[in-house]
Amino acid sequence: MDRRRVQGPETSVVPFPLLDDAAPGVVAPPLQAGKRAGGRRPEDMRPIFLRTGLISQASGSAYIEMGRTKVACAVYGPRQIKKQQGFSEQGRLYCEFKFATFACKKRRNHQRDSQEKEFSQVIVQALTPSIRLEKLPKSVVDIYVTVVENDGTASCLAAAITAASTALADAGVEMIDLVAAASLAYQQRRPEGDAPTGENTREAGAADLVLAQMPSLGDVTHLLHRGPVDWAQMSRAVEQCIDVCAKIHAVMVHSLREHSAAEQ
Amino acid sequence: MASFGLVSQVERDFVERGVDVGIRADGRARDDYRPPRVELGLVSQSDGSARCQLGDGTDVLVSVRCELGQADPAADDRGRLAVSVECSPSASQRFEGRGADDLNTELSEAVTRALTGPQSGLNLRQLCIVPGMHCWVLNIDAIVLNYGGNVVDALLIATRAALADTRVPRTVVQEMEDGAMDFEVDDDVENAQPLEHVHNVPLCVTANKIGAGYVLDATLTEELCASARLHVTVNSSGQVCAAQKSGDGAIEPSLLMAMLQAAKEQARRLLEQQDEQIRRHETEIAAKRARGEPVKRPSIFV
Repeated sequence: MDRRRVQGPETSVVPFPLLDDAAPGVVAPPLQAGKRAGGRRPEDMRPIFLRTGLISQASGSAYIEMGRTKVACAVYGPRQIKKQQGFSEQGRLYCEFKFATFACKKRRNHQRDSQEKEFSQVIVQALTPSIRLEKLPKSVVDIYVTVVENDGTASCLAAAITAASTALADAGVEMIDLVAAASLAYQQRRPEGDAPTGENTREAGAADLVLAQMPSLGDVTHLLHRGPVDWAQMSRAVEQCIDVCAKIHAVMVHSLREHSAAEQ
Repeated sequence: MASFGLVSQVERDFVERGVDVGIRADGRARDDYRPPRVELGLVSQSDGSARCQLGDGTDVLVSVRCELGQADPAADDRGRLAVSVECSPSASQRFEGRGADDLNTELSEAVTRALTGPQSGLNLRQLCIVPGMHCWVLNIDAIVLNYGGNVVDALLIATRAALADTRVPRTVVQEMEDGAMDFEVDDDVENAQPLEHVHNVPLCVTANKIGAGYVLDATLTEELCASARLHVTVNSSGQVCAAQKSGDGAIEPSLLMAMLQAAKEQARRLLEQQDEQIRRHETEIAAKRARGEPVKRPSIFV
């Protein structure tokens, strides 16, 4: 018998419906009296739980929960840049974004796949404008993001950016502003804020948007959109995300204040 | 794109002031696009191919090959696309070894985002052979032969043209006595089918933020001076199919909207030009066939 192969029947069926983002046939439940599941209005996000300083070994850390989306983020550094990476007059950010192997409906591999690598780049690009990297010559700041539970991939990315920025502030890295990120999904041609997996479908016409912004300065630091959407809807969605970012900013400030008050 | 060498402070200043007053080094206005030169059907070993050149620098080659694959259980009545982008070391010494890994990831994801999912506009059901068992996988492989700025746009222009050039071999499905399905691939290129709805495939236009303004279709020097880039992918019905910021800078919301709008307008013009070119290419092939000249075989038989 060949033990290197999985001994299974020649024909098999999928054991359960994969409620992955790509699964067809999953349609968002219709609005009930203008509200979504959980009594949210279309533009509302899920309540946020954000706490800093939970990882004792890190220079700064943050943990965020939005519904069942759970993301932990740790910041280490600034530390000296490695010799082989060369001299750099400005500091650098390095990010490692990882879904825990059990975070999604399908098991993830231990090695980072291309989506995780791309999200790492997105997080670096979203945070770089907010950090005074000229103050950190020859140094690198490491950001490690672990998604413990994925309830909507777009919301995971937004939560990761928000948590990473809070963790950087917690680590005492000099910044010009915090970065807040919001996500939304277009459902039957209307934008709905912060959609969990069941609502966030990639059926024909489905689309999502992640937008990161420095709320006090107003500048947009990242924008990631996919899916066919008319121009009018897109501009409305961008405005809606910017509004939500201001609300997330208040939560970030509150949790940072609370943590520093508790330390004193 | 710091890996392409450095740009001096004076050079940066020159480009930024130029953008401020609407003058660029090659004489274009801020919204002007270098006319892309596209050639179709260059690679005889693939089922569809195209090359796109922008200006004197950028040069990309895209090949589409049909391969037999297992159907994805989550979407068992459809085929799929697999995109990979590689920056050739001949384009820049920095691409040698693992030097281009980050850029390859970024470019592949940018093209993937435009082409996978409903935004590609393609009819993926056409690529299904036996539902739940076999399908065609379209391997879209791109090589960046020369890097002269604005590579993402060139990649999508070439990919769209290559998809229009692609012919999928015909398959004949037979039911066996025990109920199992078997199929044969027809090796006659006369019977191979073009992809349906290729005209819905989107194109990408990149706006680069330089100083307080923006330019479309930046050259390499301009890209080095840009603080942020915005890739906007638009289809022929004017819908935004994908949008992504890259680079280390931030963009004010009003400028962001202006960049999106300008990119969308430019994409519409590019789509019209390309559809015209694809029509010309198809009439040429039809004329060749009518004259009885040989046409290539599907790649899986080569």
